[in-house]
Amino acid sequence: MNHILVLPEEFEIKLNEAHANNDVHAKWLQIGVDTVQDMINKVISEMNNRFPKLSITNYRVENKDYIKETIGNRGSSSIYAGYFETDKGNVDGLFFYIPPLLDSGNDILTRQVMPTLLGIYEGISQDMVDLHFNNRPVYIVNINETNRSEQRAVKISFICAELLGFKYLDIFGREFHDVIPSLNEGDRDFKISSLAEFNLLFTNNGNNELFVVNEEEKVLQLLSNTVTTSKNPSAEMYRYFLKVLPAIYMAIDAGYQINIDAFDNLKTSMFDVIRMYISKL
Amino acid sequence: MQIIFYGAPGTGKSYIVDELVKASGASDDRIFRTTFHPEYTYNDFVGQLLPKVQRTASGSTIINYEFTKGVFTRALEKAYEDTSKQVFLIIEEMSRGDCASIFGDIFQLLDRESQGINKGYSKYFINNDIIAKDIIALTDDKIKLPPNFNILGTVNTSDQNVFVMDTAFKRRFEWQYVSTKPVPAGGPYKNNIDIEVVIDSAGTKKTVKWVDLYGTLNIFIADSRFLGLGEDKQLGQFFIEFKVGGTPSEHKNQVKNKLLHYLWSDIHKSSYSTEISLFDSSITSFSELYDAYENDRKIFSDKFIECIELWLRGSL
Repeated sequence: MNHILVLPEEFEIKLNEAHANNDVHAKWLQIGVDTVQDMINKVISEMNNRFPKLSITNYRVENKDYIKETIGNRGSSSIYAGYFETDKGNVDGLFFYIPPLLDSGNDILTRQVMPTLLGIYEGISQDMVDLHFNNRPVYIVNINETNRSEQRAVKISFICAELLGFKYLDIFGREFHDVIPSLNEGDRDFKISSLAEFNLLFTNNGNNELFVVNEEEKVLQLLSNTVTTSKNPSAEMYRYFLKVLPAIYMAIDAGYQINIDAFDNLKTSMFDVIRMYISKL
Repeated sequence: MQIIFYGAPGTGKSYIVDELVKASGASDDRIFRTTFHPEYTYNDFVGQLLPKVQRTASGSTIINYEFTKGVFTRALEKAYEDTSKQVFLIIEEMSRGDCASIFGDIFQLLDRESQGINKGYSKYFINNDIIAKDIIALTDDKIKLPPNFNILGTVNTSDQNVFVMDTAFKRRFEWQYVSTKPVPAGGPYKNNIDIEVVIDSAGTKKTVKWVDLYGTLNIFIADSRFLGLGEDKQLGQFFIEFKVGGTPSEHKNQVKNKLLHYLWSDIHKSSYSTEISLFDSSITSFSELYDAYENDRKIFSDKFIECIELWLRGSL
């Protein structure tokens, strides 16, 4: 089935800004991209190569509020969200991009994807019988040329996205699976098959600040410190949720209970959405 | 949900399915309906390659073979498009088709996960690249049913010449019996017109409500004190859907052509009893029955008329 890629207007704006920057343009040339149109074509052709079912035949640009309405996002409109439209005009999947020039590792992926997904879930939580958090396939294209994508924490975000079933494509072809502890040198098979293995990704000196896996009592306890002590709890919540959501999926599969008592005093509408989601599991 | 509603003809199985789907709030484009029949195949259900004539740039025509999606594939695609919205595949008259053959490999998908993050998804996948081809949520050719993909079926328990459903197939569905009791319970009943029954050879008529007539018939048909043919042969309240605002003559025609034909072919001729008969002993063929009813002569046996009286007194 053919699709039209519907992009937010800001996608082109951000590409134009990046194109005007000589350093960025030099990096584009290394992957055979000269103009903004070349980059759009590259995104489409790379997506078609990697995900042939998408069969993107064309693209068009829409206003972010129109996109917000079309994909059913109850939150703020996003300049990073688009979608794949079928020949019947239906939304078949969600498209996100990590923009060029963004030089904050903390914001890569989480700030582009999670606010929209939370906004969509707010609208569908009552009807959603599927226990997954997203109701449509999610595709993320990284067109950020900075070296932030090579940071360990950012790579872990990409791994989390893959564990959630999101399709991730780095237009610059950078590797990120190498941060998985169980990955042997030269072994390119991406594999985290248990909650314990996933736990290792976040364990530092035997301590995981995000969650505690209690294997004996089969409880996944979510910890709130990273969110509540943050100067920007909202932004931190996006990062936090992306990282704990795969743990929640694995815990539910393994018959664990999810304990969110640590968040009892956190009264934000965003966490209410997460609380609603966990209550359904 | 995967439910098969079963019961006697006219009990309102399709109506219940419709009400269930309406209550879900599913939009029309998320409701897919099909009816099985003896010629219905896997290709009708899932899809098939069909020839398509296309004109080339030079003006000549060529024949291409394109996969034309069946109702199952279209419903599955719709379900995966947005898993927060319910999709219903309604299959009427399931036992009139060979379910094992029609479902084919799809049968394997009917087992659903009961726990875990994939709760509601098929427990086992099947490889089917043709079905998976246009579903971007499926990364390869492995297909599963998602939790918002519902199958609602109807089965008539009294149908003749039907295919047998094997136990393995049946156990993958919940079964819900739709009784012959009138709805709404306690009345005022729907579809409940007055029917004149001739009760003696002098042509005396007694007015009986449809609910009372078919209620008496059901006991007479199933009960071992009378014909003892079993519940399968009973009638539902909507066996005849009487024309709203119809004249007595129109209603009489409906009774004559629908009810009497069924009672003669499927009840009277199936009965082995030589002592108890539904019809008057003077009636020996369907044409006699037809004429007698048309000309307001007595058609039912004294035993059955007695049963009507007992029913009306609440003592049958």
